[in-house]
Amino acid sequence: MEKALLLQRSDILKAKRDSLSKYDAVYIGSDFCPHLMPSVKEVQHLRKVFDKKIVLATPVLTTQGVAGILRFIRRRSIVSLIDEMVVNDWGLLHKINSIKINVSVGLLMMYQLQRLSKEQLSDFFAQYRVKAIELDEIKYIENIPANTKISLHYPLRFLCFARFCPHVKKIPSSCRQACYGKTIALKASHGMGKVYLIANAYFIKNKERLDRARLSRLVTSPVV
Amino acid sequence: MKILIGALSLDDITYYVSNGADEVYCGFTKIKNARPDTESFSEVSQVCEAIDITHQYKKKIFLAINDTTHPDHYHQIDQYLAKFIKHGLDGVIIKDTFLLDHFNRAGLRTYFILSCLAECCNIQALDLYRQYGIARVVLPRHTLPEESLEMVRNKFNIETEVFFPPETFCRNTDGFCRLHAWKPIVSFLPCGMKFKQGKKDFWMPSRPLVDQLSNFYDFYKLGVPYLKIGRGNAIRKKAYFNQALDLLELLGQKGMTRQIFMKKGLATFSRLPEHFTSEGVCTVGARDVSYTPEQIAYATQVRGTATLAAFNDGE
Repeated sequence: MEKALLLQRSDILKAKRDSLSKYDAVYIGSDFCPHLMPSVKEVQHLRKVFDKKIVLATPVLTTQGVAGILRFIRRRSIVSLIDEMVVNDWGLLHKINSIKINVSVGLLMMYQLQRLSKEQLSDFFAQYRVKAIELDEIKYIENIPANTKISLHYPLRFLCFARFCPHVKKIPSSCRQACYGKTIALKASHGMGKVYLIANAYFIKNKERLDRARLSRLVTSPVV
Repeated sequence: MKILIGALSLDDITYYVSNGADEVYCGFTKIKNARPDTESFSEVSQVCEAIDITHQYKKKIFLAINDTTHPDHYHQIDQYLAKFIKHGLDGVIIKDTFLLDHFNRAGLRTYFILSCLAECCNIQALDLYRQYGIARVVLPRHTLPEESLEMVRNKFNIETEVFFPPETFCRNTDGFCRLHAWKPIVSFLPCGMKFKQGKKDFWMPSRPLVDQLSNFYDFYKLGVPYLKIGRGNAIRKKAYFNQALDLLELLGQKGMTRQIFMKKGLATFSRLPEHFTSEGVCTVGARDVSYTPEQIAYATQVRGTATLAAFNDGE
């Protein structure tokens, strides 16, 4: 099983070869916020210090956002540096077929697909050349076709996310990086446990027992 | 702009279609939809009667089937839908791409409205859904007018619909929200719950009403043809409905500027029912009948003193 690190955008340029050496893959970008997409410079820096798999996560996008990601990934200087792309947006999935890149279905899109049968998932993955998926709940693993690789995000489990940025309290057209480096622990009342706000998404700790048998990759985050 | 409003009962339907709604929609408990069973009809005869009432007033009626469905249930859905379409149902509100694909393969044709829960946020996704025969798309609640131009003026002849301002923004992106499944005891609007950040209170922020109203002005000017008011608390929805009629009348007035619309539009919110303003965003009311008294008491306690004013200020 591969070990992967979810690298916050604020940490990409600070990343050093030694600290990444124990990982087989590094995730950059975001499943939740378009402002956390890396720049060309950041991807190039990461490639300099990390010679294994770089995975670009992408969120749900506007029309301009899809066009922007496609432009970004088609750049000759980028497409050769990225090994996989995590897709959460139906429009991006529809258009990404024209680019030769390994596609993994992201946490958000998998949430929408969770009630499908194994056969439906298998057909869907074949149609879009999907070789891998991202999950953060172990209970859905048994429904995943055997030939699909599973990357499990653990131990944080996503609860919800907002376009209305919790840090600046608006939908920002450009980002002043108010969330950078912050993990905010929120205590829910009545013994309901902690919720973690990271960027524009809320998470809880997953208490399911880790079953490694079917996992191709374990994706961890250093923030909690 | 035409109004589509969700109905919980036959009385609701009669009220809406006889007072200016162009379209209504409802749920049916035997076909999964995004709302609890208490907000849907439970008998085939009720849906058929709803269709008859709506058509008496020469209005349209849709059925919400806006949840994802396991293929084991497709056959049952086919049977009920065929019955309703034969009786005159004008279309369905749908979220699940795979169910849409199934309908296409099975030759089931009707007017398909893509639910906002599908989170079709861009023209590229609309191009994909076009292939499944979508006739209308409900713009996801968090889509801004300036991001919607290509979708509203799409070349696929797909119509668009937006939510009524007080309902435009869930605090979080509703098509992907897992909060409801987090802890069963706070299974309605747990996003309104109070958290502690250290010693400070923390509320998941919501977008100020003034911004939502301003967006509504822009969507109207963009030419979005349909306005949607969801299902829920019957008293509050009727107040929304009457308010929507007033806002659309305002927008239709010659020379209506954004400034005047905002001033007059915001004033209409003061007419909402007392329970809405005193009890908060959504506390005790018809919507909550699906929950136990313990759940209602718990949620009211957890939600603390959230008021409409706090809601509008983004808490």
